Amino acid sequence: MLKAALFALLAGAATLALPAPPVVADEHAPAQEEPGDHSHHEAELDGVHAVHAWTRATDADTALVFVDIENGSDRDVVLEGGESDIAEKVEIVGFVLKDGAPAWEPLPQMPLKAGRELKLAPNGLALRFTGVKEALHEGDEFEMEFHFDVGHLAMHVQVEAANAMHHSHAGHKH
Amino acid sequence: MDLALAVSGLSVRGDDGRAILTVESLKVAPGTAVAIRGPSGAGKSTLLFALAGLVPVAAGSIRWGGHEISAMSEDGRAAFRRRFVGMVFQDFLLFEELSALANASLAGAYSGARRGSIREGAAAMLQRLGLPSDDGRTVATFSGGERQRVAVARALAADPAIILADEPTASLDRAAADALIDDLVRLARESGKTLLIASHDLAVHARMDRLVEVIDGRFCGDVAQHA
Amino acid sequence: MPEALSDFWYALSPTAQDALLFALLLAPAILLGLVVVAGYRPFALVRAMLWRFRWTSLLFILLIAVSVGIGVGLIAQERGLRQGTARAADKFDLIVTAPGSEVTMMLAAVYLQPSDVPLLSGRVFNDIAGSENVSLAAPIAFGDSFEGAPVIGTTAGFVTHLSSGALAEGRMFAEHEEAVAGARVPLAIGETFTPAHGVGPSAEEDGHQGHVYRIVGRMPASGTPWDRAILVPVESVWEVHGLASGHAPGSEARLGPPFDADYFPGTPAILVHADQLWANYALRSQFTTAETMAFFPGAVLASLHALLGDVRQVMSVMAVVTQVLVTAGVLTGLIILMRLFARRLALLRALGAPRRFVFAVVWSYAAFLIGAGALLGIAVGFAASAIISRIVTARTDILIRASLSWPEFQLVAGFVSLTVLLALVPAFLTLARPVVKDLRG
Repeated sequence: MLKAALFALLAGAATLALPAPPVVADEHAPAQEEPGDHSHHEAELDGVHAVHAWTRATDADTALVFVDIENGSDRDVVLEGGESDIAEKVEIVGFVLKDGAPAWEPLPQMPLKAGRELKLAPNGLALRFTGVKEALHEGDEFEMEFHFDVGHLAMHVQVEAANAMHHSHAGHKH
Repeated sequence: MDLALAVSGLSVRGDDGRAILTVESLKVAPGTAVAIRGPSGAGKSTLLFALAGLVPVAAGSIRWGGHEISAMSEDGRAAFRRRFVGMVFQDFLLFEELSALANASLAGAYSGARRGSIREGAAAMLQRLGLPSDDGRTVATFSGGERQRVAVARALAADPAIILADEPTASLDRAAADALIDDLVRLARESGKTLLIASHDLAVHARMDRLVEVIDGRFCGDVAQHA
Repeated sequence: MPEALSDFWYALSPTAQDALLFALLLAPAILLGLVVVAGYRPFALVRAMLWRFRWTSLLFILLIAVSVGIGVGLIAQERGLRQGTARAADKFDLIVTAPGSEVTMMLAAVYLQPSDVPLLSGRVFNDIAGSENVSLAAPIAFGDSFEGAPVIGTTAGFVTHLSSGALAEGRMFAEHEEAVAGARVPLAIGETFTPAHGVGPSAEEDGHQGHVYRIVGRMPASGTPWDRAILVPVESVWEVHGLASGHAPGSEARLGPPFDADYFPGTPAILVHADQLWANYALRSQFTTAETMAFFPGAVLASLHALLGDVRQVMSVMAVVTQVLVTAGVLTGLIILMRLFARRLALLRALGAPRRFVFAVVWSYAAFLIGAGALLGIAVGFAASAIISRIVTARTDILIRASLSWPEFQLVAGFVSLTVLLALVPAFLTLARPVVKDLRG
């Protein structure tokens, strides 16, 4: 009885709590967008696309930045980290569950094979900013650079609500 | 210290605004023992409580030496009682769960620096009244006479100049009443304390310097002894 | 928060932050206590009052304890569930299945709650097993059972991984008819069994008539549903179902990888383990394709935990409201109780005790009830959590441990601070009572 209830709770939770499965079509396919609409929110370097970099509003010392990266080139690339004026340090971190509590472990690098996609998202990979100098407010933007072995990729990071689970798409005309 | 009592033009009103006690004039020299008599409900206790600053005064004044207590704040009157007044009640009003010594030295709990001397005074008084100073028993096990003696020790522990007692013997049998009143009068006289006792008890009246009377809420002045 | 202060805060270790927060939450109660009783010794009188009203006091303390216990138990239980379910998923770095619901797949592959799911092919398995950085790829073939114990087909590598390198007893399976039992499977080494097709009441007991396994080893206890599982070579599961053995004709006797993709009947799930965390993320990216889904059970759990946390927060708010209401009730009761004690309090005033002293006596009495109730409440909450944990563990095979940690103490500290502040009210109300009237009784 109780067993069933526990698993039912976990299963029921899923539909509410989990992001859509990855097979869902990408609603941000360029064909559906007006030109220039996302000029701040996408960047490209030799076929490596980055789109929708975002973070959560916080006044804490650390922040996690998420982004979708697509390796459209014909060679493997390696994400090595990043940098930004607003933080002292930027590193790649991976989510782990330690004793039931979320934790992030630094990763030295993140390879991305040709033609593949890499999603930096909550409860997964992220770029961790430490020594964040100012409070981040919802609606703010700041600049950062992603460091790949093939070069640096500059783009804007959008600050979302403190409890956001994804990039907001609505109403950001610039 | 000269704490002569001078009451004049005193009027105390009840909750309904009716006068429940009037005192034209009452003077008591320091060190005097005064019995207050009168029918039940005449206002004897009210007079005692007024003298202690426990009831609000509608008009007139109550002076103990240089202290005009009718003009003091509530905290000021509490401080005055703490310093100068010891009180004894008809049904003892002890903390049944505490020992004789804890009861007698109760004032030590709120008297700060005087705590030590109050405790010594309480222990000495208990001894003089023939009670064990602290054998760990709570006063719940004591007889009526013993309880009232603990109450007397409590009244005297801080060495006040004034003792106000409201029917102290009314709950005791004859022998216990006589013993208690002997002790109370002796201890008061020894150190020149002013003693006012409201009482029906003729044996009490007989042992006092003066006997005054309250009838129907009116202070009627001195009554000739053995009248 | 001013910058210097926030810098200081973030420089602290988590434990120091927790301890400091606890101290800050409790500080108002302690400061209030110091201010209220400063210069006085009300404790003998408080003791006298407690003793005089001992049964009522005890009842009040119990009421507060139960309401505090609910709040403490909720927090402790949620953490216990989180830690227990997370611990049970510890060994499962990355799971690859056919696309579908991550939760369903996780419940099936990690918590052995069976589901009918599509199978992955031998080509996919070999792709995964042959990938760079993969140190272990093992099929997890569920579906059969023996008297309620799931029978799982897998490889020796997985058994070793699950038992952290060493079996508790016996040896690894080396033949098709051999099995390794979980720590709590009621079969001794040397005993034999015939698996049933399916799991639960609908299992076909005689579905696999003639196929007999013998237990040859036992895994150490892990506090997970795998303690109830029986692990057998995946090849034998296929054979029991009349399928190919995973190996080309002529080498059917072989156990474990490499498998021949052409003779691989399929597996519902594959556990993938890489030694490096980054490699796990790279593999997830690699196996997120049209025909495969790769997920971290830890990340799925974290989402579920977040939801569990939300539920707990809602319930915690209700628990806090309950606590405050119960305390308000107790303080109201206290006002009534103080009427019974009014003569003694009036006596104190008549003897010349400062009003603040009488105030201190009444407040200290209330504060004692609250403090004792809060302390007892921690014990009640812990005990409740221990009992519920034991029941959940017994029913789910997921080891849930009851523990007490900072959040509970912080909750209790906040509760104490808030309610001792509320206790000022009855203390003030007793001061308003008429002294002479109370004195006359």
